[in-house]
Amino acid sequence: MEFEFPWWLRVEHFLNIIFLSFLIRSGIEILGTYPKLYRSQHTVPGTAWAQFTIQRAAKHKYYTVGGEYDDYSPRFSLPGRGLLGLGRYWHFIAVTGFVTSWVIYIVLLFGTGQWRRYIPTSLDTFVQAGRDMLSYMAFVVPEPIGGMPFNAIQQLSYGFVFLILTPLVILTGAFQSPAVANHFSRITRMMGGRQVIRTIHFLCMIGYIVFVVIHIAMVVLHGYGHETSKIVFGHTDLQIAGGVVFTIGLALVLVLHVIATRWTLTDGRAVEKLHNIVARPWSNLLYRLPARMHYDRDNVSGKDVQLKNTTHNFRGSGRPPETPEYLALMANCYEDDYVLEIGGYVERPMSLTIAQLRELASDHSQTTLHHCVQGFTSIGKWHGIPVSDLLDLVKPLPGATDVVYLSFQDMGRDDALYEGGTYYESNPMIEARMPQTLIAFDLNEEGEIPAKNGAPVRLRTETSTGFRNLKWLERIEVVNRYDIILEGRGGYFEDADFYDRNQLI
Amino acid sequence: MREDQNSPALRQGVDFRDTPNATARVTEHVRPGKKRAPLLRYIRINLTRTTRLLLLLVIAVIGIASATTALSGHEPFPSAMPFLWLVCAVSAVFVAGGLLTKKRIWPIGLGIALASLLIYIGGLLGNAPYVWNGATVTLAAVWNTTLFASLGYTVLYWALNYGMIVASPDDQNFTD
Repeated sequence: MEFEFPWWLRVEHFLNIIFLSFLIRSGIEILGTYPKLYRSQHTVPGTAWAQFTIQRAAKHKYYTVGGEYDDYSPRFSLPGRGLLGLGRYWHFIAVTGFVTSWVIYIVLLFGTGQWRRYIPTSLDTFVQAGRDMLSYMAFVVPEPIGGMPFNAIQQLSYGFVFLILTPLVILTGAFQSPAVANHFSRITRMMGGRQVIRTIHFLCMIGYIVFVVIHIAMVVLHGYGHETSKIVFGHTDLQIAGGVVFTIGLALVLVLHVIATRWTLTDGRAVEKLHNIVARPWSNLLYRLPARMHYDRDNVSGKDVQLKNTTHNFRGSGRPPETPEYLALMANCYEDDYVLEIGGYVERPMSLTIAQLRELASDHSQTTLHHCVQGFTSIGKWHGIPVSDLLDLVKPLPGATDVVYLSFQDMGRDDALYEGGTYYESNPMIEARMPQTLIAFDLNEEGEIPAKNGAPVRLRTETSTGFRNLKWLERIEVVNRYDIILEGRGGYFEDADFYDRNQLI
Repeated sequence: MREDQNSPALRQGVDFRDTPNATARVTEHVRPGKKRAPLLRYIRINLTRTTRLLLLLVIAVIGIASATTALSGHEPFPSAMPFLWLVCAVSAVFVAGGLLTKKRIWPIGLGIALASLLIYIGGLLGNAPYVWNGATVTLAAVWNTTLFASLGYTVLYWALNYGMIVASPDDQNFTD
């Protein structure tokens, strides 16, 4: 069989340059919003194995996760300037193309028999790869294997990238999704937990960067025109033209990045629309994966992990409400004064005190992994009542589509990092009815929820990223449409920033 | 003052008042007039034991490659053998010292790397064991390994001093 460079392979190579470069730049943007890598999913302060920030934490003050953002340059990250939501949009747009392209490529590889160009059919290939490595180190360019377009070490390298590194980056990327990770929580644990998965995903990115650098060096070593002619025309007959066309192609990719970066920084909503067209059709499928986590808070791995490895400080994000009303509730320990109102598009609106919530909950609890959209994780045991049970009590009217949650928190008033507006969130009914969507009133058997974690009552939406788990809950409203509330995007961060309401990824 | 008297931190002698990042985050390495620090300042790896082992491994590679070159009998330049064996011997002592003690011996490693680099440059001017000088592919690869490993150690040493990496017993002291 001839191992030439068929047109689909050459197209895929060019598409990969675009998708990979977009994935790496947007990935750096995502990393920059929580620029720390851990081995433990408890993200214990001070235990990061790597940090990518020049910030030093305040020594004498409570600081929130929102302050972790680092402001990377738009030259490196897409779009830069700590715009996580837009970085996520680009990551998901690019990953849609990358995975689609890879699947088509794999089908064509195996369908045409071209897989042999990457998968060695003899153990001798490994021995030869060792010899080739020695040759390179001796400054001697090794010869290709007979009938193959490249030598043994190139074959193994490309095979590794296409058939091991790429599936691994897709798998660890998929498990960054709270819906996937929390539906398949046993697999999450088998893979070492959320932070190990995040670390592997990062190392995969480093793997791609190292591969690209070596690949470019090898192309230059083997002859730029010779190699680019193969990947442009499929043969080595037009070396100058190949070099010129390929260089123009690279310049176009560069221009594409400049346009994408500037466009994103000037019109984020347009990028959001593009994301909704490209990524939502598949991300909406994740609503079929309800969370089903059952962690043991002190014993995640099945072994005794000691106190130092438990989430003894469930990280807070956002600042508690600073109103006389809320402070009075806090001063009176909530129990007597707090009333949760549930109303709106329902048959039987009602008000419930914490005591009544406790009684209705019948000691129901869930121990779950919290996925912050920025990247931190914590494990918490929540006592509460499923939203589904509350909905059964208030009986939504026919046509009710969403459940809206209002917080005591006003972002502009309470948190210097953000501009004004009441914090609110909404669940589509399918998400509100999931078994682990919970109205919680107790964290880690402490009898209550600490103020920084949302006292006295908060929402847990375990299929979703952290910011949609609204804290300091004041009122629940069932509605028949959410798109007429404020900016119509379904939540504070959805309205004020660039986050999709579908936060299943 | 009453608040200060009741502060558990102050009673323990921990007093961050009036320090630059007492209540606000501070950014480091940002030059005047710039918004951001140089790119590599953002990278801080805290794998201290791995880094220590890596530094020792690189010097071990230099030592082994130097010994292999000396044993081959292909002298890179006249009277090169004593220098190759000296690098090998010091490398062995360095690796043993690194494994058995917790001392910060990294400048000594830099000396070994630079010595090896000097020998390599001597070979460039002499009759280094390259393929085109009659050496086998394996020997040429081993010879070039002294170059790659020396450069590698020099880069790691720079990264160590720059703060990108730290080697045990030091630590990045991340506080989050």
